Amino acid sequence: MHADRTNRLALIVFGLLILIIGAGGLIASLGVFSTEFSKRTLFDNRVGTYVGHNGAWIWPATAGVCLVIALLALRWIVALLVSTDRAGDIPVPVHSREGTTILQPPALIGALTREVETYHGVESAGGRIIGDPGDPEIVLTVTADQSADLHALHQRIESEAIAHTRQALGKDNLAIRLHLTVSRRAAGGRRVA
Amino acid sequence: MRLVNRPLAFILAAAVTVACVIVIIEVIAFHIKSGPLVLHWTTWYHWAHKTRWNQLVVQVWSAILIVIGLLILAVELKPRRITRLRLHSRDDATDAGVTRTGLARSLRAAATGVDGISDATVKVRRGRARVAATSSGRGRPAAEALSEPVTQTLQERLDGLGLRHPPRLKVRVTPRSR
Repeated sequence: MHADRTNRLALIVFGLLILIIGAGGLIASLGVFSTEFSKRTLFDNRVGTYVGHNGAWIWPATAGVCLVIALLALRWIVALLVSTDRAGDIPVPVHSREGTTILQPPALIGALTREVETYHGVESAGGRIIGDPGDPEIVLTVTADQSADLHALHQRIESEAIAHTRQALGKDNLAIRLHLTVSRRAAGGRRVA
Repeated sequence: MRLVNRPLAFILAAAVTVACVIVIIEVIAFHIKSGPLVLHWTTWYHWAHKTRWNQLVVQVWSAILIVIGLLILAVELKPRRITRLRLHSRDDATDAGVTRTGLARSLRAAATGVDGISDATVKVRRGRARVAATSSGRGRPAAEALSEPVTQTLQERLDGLGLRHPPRLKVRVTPRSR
């Protein structure tokens, strides 16, 4: 996910905030609240007066809130710069109670893509494993020849390669996101079996 | 969109962090009876005490903020361009789809595979696929005669994909330009 939802949400909130401040300023300036108000100075209002009278606790409280916001913003920056949605090593369920079997994501993806690349009509395949290692999701991208029968290829990938992967992990409901695309190059004459 | 959002989000996060740190520093400085340390905020304070709401500077800054806010909201709330069209899958755990460009290339290959078609341009958008094919023969009658076989071929290709929500097909065959 790489903080994409957080980014969008924060930018929407920021945009709304800026819009509300701007609209409020313009409305006050044009005398919509009252002509008398538009002739006052910026701090000559209830909020300004309240802050002026209670600055002894409002400003330290503001600094405290700013500290929390700064820490959250720093965490956000760290997420933007270093976080990844890739899954770590995947534990494989075994019948024996002794030891744990770990499957490394590149090994699984390598086996999956190698199998798919042997299918007729496939030009290349790539993938990655995302999410929690205990509940991973596989994202598989398959590039087919222009002449490939995409429906047949899709059916074969689901019934063979994806089924084999689920079997290897012992997860019948392993989430798989399959992206089928078509090569830019003209077909080399191969067809899906 | 993600690629635009990430630098924007980084700039926003960095600006918020810096602003918060400055507020904290200035609050502490004020309480230990020191003057402004990082930002000379007293200038703004005096300016706000002198400036009235109906002054032009307030209107200009308000308009600038409205424009920036609207721009950000327009960018963020604009419906995302579809990148893939979902296919019928055997089970709920599999989310299969054909990419928009993949579908366009597949349709283009199908269109140019029809006898008499020399080239085709395909645009796949939300809910519709628009194909502009060029006949190898000159003259409008030749192009019009190819319209039906091209449409039929492309519709068969679309129907055969097993798309959950197939786009509506719109085909136009034009004669080769001289």
